[in-house]
Amino acid sequence: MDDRLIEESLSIDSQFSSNTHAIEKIVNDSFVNDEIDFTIPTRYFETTLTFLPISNERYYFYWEFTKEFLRSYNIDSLDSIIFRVVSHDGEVLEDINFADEVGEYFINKSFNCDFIQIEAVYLKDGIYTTMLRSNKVQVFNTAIIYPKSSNKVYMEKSNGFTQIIRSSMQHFTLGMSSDTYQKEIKALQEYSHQKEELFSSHVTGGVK
Amino acid sequence: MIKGYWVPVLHSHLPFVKHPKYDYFLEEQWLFEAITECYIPLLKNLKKLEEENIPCSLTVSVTPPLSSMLDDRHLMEKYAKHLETQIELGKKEIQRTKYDDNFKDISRYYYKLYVETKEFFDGFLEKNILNGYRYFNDKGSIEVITCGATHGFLPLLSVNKKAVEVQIELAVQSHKKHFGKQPRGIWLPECAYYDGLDEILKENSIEFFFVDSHSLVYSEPTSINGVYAPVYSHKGVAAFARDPHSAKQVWSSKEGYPGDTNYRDFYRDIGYDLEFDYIKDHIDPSGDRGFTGFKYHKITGNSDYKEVYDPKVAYDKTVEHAKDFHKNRELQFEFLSSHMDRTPMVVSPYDAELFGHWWFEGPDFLYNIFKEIDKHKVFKAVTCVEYLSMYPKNQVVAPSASSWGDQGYFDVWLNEGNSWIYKHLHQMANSMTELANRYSTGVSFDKHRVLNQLARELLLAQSSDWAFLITTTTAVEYSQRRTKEHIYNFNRLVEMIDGKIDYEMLHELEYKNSIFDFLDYKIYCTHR
Repeated sequence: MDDRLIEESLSIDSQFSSNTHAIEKIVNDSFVNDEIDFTIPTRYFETTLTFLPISNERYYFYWEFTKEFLRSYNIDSLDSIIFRVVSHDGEVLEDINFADEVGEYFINKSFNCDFIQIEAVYLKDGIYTTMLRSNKVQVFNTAIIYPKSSNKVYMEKSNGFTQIIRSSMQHFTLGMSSDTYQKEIKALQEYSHQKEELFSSHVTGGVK
Repeated sequence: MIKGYWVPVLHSHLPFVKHPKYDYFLEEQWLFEAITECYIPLLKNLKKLEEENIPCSLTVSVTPPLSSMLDDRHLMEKYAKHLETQIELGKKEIQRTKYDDNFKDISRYYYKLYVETKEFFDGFLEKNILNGYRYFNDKGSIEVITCGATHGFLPLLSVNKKAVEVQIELAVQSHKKHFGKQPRGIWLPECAYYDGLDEILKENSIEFFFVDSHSLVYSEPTSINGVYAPVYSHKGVAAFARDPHSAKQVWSSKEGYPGDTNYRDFYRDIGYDLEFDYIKDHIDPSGDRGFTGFKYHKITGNSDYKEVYDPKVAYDKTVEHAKDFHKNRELQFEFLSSHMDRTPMVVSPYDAELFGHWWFEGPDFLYNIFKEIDKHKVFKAVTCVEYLSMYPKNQVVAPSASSWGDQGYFDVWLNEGNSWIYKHLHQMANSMTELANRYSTGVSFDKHRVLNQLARELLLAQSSDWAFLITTTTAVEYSQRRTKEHIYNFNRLVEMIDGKIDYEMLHELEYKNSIFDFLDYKIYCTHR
């Protein structure tokens, strides 16, 4: 069983991890009742800047600036506006030079911090001024978070922990390449060996 | 000695569809197909297990939109007519194939199937599908749990916290209405979790939810038992994670059981195969061909060449596959036990609709698994509630944000094709909250109706199905139109709040989009 689990764990199925999604199978014909043309607004005439997470490598935001809002900052050219990705402690992570009164943008980048936020800033006389901040977004965790060394329960499990996590990770389809997978496993194995050594040195009175 | 606990979960969901103006409407056919091929076969098999005194423990989520439809008199009357039409087609088919040695048996099979389905629907179910779920829920062989009110993708709605709170609160209300009790668990729409959701679940007395595997592997800290034991979130709600191995074994398009060549082919259907004049009364009146449910071929192989389907041979395969599934779980439990300090648990969630619709023999497979479990008694099927009563102490972690979609995160529901949806959903939720606060002390009867319908249109627009279908390019135009329809309706209704009420439109929307007849818009107030 063990060998087969390891072998199979490296094969990635390209189907949806929920490849059980029924609706796709049921809705096999598209049908359109076009009795009414459902016109929807292109803008809401409210200033907004909304930030949404997609994955650890992808984020999305959309915005709308009303004319009144832009006027309140004396902005005569949208070219002076930039969007900034900032970390929870204010570090500037990315500048995006793409502004319009209404728009959307996909950020294809991963960030190494806990929370990020978008700021709409404008440049005047060489000084950046923040006009608007989006909601904060939590960055996805995509790594094993090793337990604290004080947590005896993990240490005692030692190799068992590695095996269980390995088995739990089988057939992940979450965009993890086999290379990443191998690294995760290697890290776990190293962790496991470390703990085993610690444990054996402890029981033998610290003599290796 | 019991080597492990198996937690099978079926997630049952269809988007809310109701077209009272039309005798035939394609969307309603989706519901009728699912009733005939999935929900009734499942309930029939549960009844069979009960009659044979075989224990069964199954967790079944029935989403509020589906509950509403299965409890809707208009739709159930239409379904009864649909069954009669199917039986008529069955009779016609017996006549047509009576001298055809290839198809005469299979046409009789379908006639009998529809007659028996009607008997079960009229008899045991008393013309209401939910009666079956209530019966087994009360007996304890299934644990019915709820889902987001309209299957909204909660992480992407959460910029307005109230939008998520209402999805959960209304789901609980709907469950109480349809099943007469507080749901103990929830199937999060698309298995999508984000940090902070557990607080809302806790406030609504939800005791457990499900996540995909990586949510616990990448939790903080990583779950010590991986996915083979539940954890508690910091708010004390239990999270059960999907076992990737058993999921793949059943559903992988490459290795899964449903791909066996003896099983029924999904695509070949007399709705496409037979002469138009012969079949026209049993397909869309517009003349578009579609599925009738009469499928006479087996998968056979990868080519277009298909042989005749033999239900008996296919049934025997379900026995074989159930044995194989059982054997694999047994081996899996043995392996896990050697590394765990408690009896391992494996959670296997699947979409209920694929057991019967996509995999026609799926309900028989489930029946045979329970028979195997009872025969060998090496592991036990349990519900989450049963497991938690045996193991009330579990590790506390913060599950990571995740979903069960492609790539494991939110890509399926937010990408270049469907991103336009979200600014409307967020704006509508903000407007709804603002209106609910503004009219929190009450309004005239008619304005109350408008506000309630506003809430329904918002909720229906939030369904994750539309964004999903746009991504999969399965029914792009239809899904875009459904989303736009609810946004349009919402904005028209907003105009009626301060302007003139269009009673004709209001009445039509109340009848057509009639989900949650108990809904009170004040649920959106932020200062209740």
